[in-house]
Amino acid sequence: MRISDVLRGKGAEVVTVTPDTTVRSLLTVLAEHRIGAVVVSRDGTSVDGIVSERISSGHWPCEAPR
Amino acid sequence: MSEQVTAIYTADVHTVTPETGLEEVARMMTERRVRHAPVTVDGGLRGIVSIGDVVKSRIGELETERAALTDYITGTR
Repeated sequence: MRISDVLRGKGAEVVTVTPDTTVRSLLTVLAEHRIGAVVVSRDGTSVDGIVSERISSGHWPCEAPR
Repeated sequence: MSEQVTAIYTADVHTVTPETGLEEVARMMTERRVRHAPVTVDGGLRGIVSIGDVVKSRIGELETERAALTDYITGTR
């Protein structure tokens, strides 16, 4: 089997966000679509990055309490 | 929370193509410890596959194969 077979079953829809999307908006998008990751894309076609519901602690956007 | 997604995203994305084999994608996800792979054709986004999609398809593939082998051995149809 190939990836094309997998896509035929689930569809080719990909949710993307633009690089200037806030983390807060990202969480809303993930929840609305019930998905774990979105592609970061400037124009909806290029793949500029990927961002998921899981991020490493080193990337946690909130400042750690001091 | 008001930070942009670029503060937490992964820019080094490993993409696959529609022609990539399922086994190869499963191996890549395991080796690189990633759970999603965008599908591109000539740099354009054509879909996305998650590790769940890959596992589901692989199980279906293996079950079909097992059923065919069982039929072959037992002669049932």
